[in-house]
Amino acid sequence: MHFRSRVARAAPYAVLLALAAWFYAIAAQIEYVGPSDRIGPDFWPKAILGAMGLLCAYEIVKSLFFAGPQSVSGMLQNLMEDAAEDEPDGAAAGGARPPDLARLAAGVAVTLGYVAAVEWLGFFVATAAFLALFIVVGGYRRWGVALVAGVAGSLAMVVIFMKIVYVSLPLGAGPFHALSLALLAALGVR
Amino acid sequence: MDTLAQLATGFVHVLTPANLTVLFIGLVLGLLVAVLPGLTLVMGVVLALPFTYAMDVTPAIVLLTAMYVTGTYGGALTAILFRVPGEPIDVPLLWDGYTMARKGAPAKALGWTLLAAFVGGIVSACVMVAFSAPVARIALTLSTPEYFAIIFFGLASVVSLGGGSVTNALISLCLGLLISTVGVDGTYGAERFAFGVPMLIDGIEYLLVMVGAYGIGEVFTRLYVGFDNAGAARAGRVRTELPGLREIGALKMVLARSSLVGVIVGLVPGAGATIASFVAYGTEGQYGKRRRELGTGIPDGIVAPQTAATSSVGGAMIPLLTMGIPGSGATAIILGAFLLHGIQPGPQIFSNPEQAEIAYAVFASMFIGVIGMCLMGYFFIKLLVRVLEFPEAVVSAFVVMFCFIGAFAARNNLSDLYVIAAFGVLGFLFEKFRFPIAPLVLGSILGPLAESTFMTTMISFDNDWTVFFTRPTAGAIMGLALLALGYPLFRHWREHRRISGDAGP
Repeated sequence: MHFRSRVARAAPYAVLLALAAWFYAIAAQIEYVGPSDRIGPDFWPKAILGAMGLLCAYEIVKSLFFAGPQSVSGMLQNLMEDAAEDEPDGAAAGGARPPDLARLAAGVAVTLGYVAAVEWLGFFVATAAFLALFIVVGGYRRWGVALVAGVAGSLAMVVIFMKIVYVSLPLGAGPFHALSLALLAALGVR
Repeated sequence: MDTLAQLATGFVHVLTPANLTVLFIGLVLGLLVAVLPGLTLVMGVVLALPFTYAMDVTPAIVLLTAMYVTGTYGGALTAILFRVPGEPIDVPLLWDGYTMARKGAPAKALGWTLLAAFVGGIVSACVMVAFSAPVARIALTLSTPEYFAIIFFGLASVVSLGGGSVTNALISLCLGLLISTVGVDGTYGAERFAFGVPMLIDGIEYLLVMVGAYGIGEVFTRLYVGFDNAGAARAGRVRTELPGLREIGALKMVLARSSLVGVIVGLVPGAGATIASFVAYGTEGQYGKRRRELGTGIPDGIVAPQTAATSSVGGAMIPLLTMGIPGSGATAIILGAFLLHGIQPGPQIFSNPEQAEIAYAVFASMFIGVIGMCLMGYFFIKLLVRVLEFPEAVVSAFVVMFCFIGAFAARNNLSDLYVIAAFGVLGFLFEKFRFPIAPLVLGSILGPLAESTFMTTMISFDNDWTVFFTRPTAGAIMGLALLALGYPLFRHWREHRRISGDAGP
């Protein structure tokens, strides 16, 4: 295997190892009051982080120096592989499409945007916008349907959660607060 | 007799209009979720959780349990008809179920699936009724070392039984356990990994980890790959043809074997319906009378995985109800619903008359739910598979919203939305780098219980860790856990030797 691909394979474990070391250092500074002959609140996280560090180190060494296709795998994987070997026509194989990082980034951005805006826009407006945008980002190109699904879906959720299930959803700020209150009054939600 | 009397009371509780309505809704939602690829039964139960906040505890648990049971069945319909497994559980059904359908007998294949789900569900419900109270009595005699050993066994099982690399599963488990340590510790009241952030001082709720990593993480993964917005092919003329009594008689051993496999796998904390389904298919491949014909479209290959998947539900509910240990994602959410209503499942549940009533109502709802599920599967199959015509982008947008509402409604805290969005990204990264999510989630769920039982044992036994191995019950369970962890290593070593032998001089 090429050295660059070995490094790429080891990279996630290196990140996790660094994270484990950092957290271990923080755990070593946990302050508490208790008898000195007893294990403290730092023991459990330190044990977990120690185990995690060892596992990451093992994977880094394996990826860099002993890289191969085999790894110790779980029982479900083995069963699936065994069954796939016996399979007459590879029925389980699905049609793969090229992954799209830009589409994912847009989806994550819309999701984070919703989280940031819901307090200000209120549930109804933010949800309608989110649903319509996420549907479009997801590759559904009928804009009118996306918009209707967004508004109708948001309205349905307001009715279900605020009128039937009694969940107190965010009302928004400024004009959006007034809009939410007007909508709730129209729906008969007190 | 006492058990049957309590079960009868349970039926009386469930057969009220309100509870029956909730049960019906649970069955419909469970079937819909199972039919849609990308929406797993765990996600379905997660999405239903916010609806339970305003309910009493009995209808809340009845709703979630109904979704859990039907979630093991609905995906079989699309796996057989369209080669679209709604759940990972349904993959083994592609091999014989879809093949039988392709040979011109889809109605018969659907009939076998229905029968298998019915038998598995009823066996599962009977096992729950028969064994829960005795197991709870045994659990009352256990002490913290035994409890820790059981949890350790559960965590070891989820690592060794799951798919993918065992090292990655262990790392995922460590991360889950680490997440559960954030906040104020229960023994000393010390602040850990909170960095002075009030939200972190309160700790990270496992519900947020679960909703984020399973729900939003899965949506992000499918968005990255590309949603299927075209929808599956139209169902055409779909019907179910039930097998005759003689045909059923010929498969009685398959039904018995698979029910047993399902219940046992379900009992193991960490294993679930997917593993039960694969193990039952594998068992038929090894011991079945028609093992050489598996994969050619025979009923044995349909009945085994479906029976085991449905019967695993009862097995998984037993450790939850009797020890408060959720063995799977779905039972973890059901535990969450119990806790939200102020009830801590555990051995005392059967000695408290009020709580025992709830437990038996859940058992009764299983019987009614299984029958309802089969009736719906028989009569409304055409309607159910039409769900596949919904564009995935639309369904996924609503899934994200339900995840947000579920997380927000639990604590009425908008900051929790950031947490589940972050776990959504983590869930995607886990999928991308092939780290399994189940150990992360189970680690965050069982972490606090594991730590508290470990710390209490250490304090009670003067830091003597050998107590986990020297007490008979704890030692036996720890031995099993170590065997579970060692099995993949042994198998790997054996495979390695076999390959080396084949490539030898």
